[in-house]
Amino acid sequence: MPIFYPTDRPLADFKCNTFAIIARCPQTKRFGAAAASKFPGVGAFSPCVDPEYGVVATQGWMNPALGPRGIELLRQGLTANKVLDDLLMEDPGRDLRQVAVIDRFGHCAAFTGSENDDVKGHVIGDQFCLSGNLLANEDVLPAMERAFERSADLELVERLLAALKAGSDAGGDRRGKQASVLKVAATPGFPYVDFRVDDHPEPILELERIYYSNRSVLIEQYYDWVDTVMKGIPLEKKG
Amino acid sequence: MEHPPIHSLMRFMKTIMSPVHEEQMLQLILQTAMDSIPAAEAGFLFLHDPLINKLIIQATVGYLPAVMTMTRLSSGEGISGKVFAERMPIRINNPLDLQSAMDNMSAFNYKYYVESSTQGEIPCCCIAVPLLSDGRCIGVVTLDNFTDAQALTEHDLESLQIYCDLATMAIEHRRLFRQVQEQNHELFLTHDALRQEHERLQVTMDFHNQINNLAAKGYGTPEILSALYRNVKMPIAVFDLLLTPMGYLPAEVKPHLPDQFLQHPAMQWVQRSKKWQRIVLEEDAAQSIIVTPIVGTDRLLGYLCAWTGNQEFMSTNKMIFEYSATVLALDWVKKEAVQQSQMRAKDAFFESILSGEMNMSLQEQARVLGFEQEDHYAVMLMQPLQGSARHSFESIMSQLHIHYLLVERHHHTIIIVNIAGNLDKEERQSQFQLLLRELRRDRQLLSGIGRLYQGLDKVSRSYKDAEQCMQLLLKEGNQQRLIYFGDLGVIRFFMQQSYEELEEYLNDVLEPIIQYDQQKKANLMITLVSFVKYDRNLKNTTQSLRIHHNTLYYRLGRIQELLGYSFDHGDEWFNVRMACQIYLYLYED
Repeated sequence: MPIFYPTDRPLADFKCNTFAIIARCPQTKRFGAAAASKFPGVGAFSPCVDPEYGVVATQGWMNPALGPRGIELLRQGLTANKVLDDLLMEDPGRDLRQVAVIDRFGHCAAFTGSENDDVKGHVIGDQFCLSGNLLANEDVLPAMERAFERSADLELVERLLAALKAGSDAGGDRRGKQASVLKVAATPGFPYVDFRVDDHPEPILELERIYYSNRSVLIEQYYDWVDTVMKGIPLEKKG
Repeated sequence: MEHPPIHSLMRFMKTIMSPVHEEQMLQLILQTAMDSIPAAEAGFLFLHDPLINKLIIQATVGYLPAVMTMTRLSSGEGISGKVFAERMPIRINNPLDLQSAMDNMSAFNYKYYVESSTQGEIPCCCIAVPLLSDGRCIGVVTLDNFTDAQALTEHDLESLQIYCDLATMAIEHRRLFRQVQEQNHELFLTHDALRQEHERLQVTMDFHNQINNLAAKGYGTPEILSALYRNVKMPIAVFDLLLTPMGYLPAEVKPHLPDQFLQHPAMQWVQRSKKWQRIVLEEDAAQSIIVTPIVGTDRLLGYLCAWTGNQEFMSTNKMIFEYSATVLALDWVKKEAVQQSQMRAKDAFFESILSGEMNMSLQEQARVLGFEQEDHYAVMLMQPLQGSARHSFESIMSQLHIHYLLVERHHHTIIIVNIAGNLDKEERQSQFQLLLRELRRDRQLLSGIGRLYQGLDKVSRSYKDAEQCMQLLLKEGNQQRLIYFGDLGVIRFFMQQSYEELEEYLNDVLEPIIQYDQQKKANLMITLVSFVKYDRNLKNTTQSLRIHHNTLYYRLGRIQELLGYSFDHGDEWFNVRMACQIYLYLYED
């Protein structure tokens, strides 16, 4: 594999400054992630969510290959720390990246490269991790943390949305907003919550609208759908 | 309630607790229950799937399993769904009631039921019993008869209830066993992950402790490198900013860096970001160099390099390198600070000594620096000592065990050499001469050296000597590398005279031949200087001037004639010699 060393002048348009949360639900053991950015189609690049092994989110001067590679390492049974370590070892541009990993045990590891723009940083909590760079202020990540922790009685997907909204309300990405992504995985091969807003003036509100207006179709019948697909039988309409 | 015969229950228990797969066990439960209830011609066993909140058929007898397993019953749907919803057993012995109970089935489920039945569309009678565990309904067993509406009795229903209770225990036992197995597997994975994390942490902590101990004991770069080498077991080296090796291990493998190393894109990035990088070697793509910058107070001080195969690279603990580089930086910065502090103290001491003042305070400072009043001192002036020249000088002084004080000035390095006062004169001179010999042998050093005096108050005199030697060295255009004031001979006295006075003496003695040379384009002055230099040896003089001896005789005669001196006359020859020395002193360059 060729090695591309970083240069002093990365392509400015590909600076995926983002604030994101990755998490594992302690009750359902599901993995999920949400992110928002002034970067079109952020969800196409990150995060990568595996229903059984964990999540890898990458942002900053993004290297999208880190996501699938991280999932590959998680599937080999590596811990979040080791996965993060290996990803950074292999990536010459590590100081430009911001990477967060959560493993099958819910343990998190995160790295914020020194070359990311301020305000930047990450917060590791109990089975969740927040990360952000080029944030409007120092309050964005703590606001996300509070929102996530205070919504412990909700489902993971709603907690992720709450955190994302709180981050946006606290200032979010300093450059503005354009795109968002919300993912929760449940069964290998069967997307559960997988919504993206690629270009919108209010990407988080739009994401929330898409989720709630489609929940009854896509989410509430999810396991019926998985079961019928796997058994080769038609899915009957509810009621 | 009438109980099934004990032998029937025992057979049922033995069957359901036999070591079979779960699917087989459920089929056995159904089959054994039906064997004990002869009127049951067909039946099925549902289990509830909490994910989809539906009853799914897990075992069938008397129905086509491939079709039946497609059934998904909601709570309350059909007879089994009703039993699941109400958690109560049921017996229906009327086909119309049966049909009525099945009317709320979905079209697909009814279709599957009809298509799977091998004995008729719907049975004549049925009994259905919920599988209840801890207040939860986990499934339903339903048995059918297709020929006689009264075939399945209340007694059969009661028997089925007993079988279902036992079956529930077996199913729950299996579920719990599976859960324990899954938890054990998770526990194994957790333990394995914990062990890996522990090993990594332990290696890092061990190294951290080793380095901390070294730092606490004041050890420096060699010991830090040794500790690092013991841990990583790969060739390592420390370089300064110009890639001069400051240390490397193993000692027998001299580190080699690729050409244009500092221009490599990764090195450019290391210099900019001050973070580690891996550089794959162009000459051997299977090998890499891990370069960790040594950074002190935001200044790049050097590089810690490690050579590794690409396979080994991924298992490298980069934290060890980063920690080593940090401790090296601390050590270097500390030494630099100590050096600067010592330098300032030495500078102040040196200035005071040169002023010739001696007081109690100065004597105390001298004692701290290891200088005693009764010792002997000489001052050496050198061209600024840098790089290998400095290393060479320090090496000489170390070999000879000579104590010294070194201070830097703009154009010179100044060294006060200290010879112990307890040596006798012969030993002292021997040691000093040995030093001069070693310094002369080193072609990198350019030194003017003052005389050896006793007492710190004489250091200023030796300094003046050294200054004069240095002036002479520079004047002579570096043909000599070292001049010791004690070797200067008569030149010492010339140096104390003004230029005009020396030139006046020269003209008094030698003006006739100087003018003759100028007017006639002759070489009498050169001839005379050589004749003096070779102490009137004719053969050596002719060889040095490459002239015939007759020419030399002629020129010497002409010189004596012009000067009016005879070289055979002692006083006159002395005057000529003196004038020639002055001529060389003034004009040789």
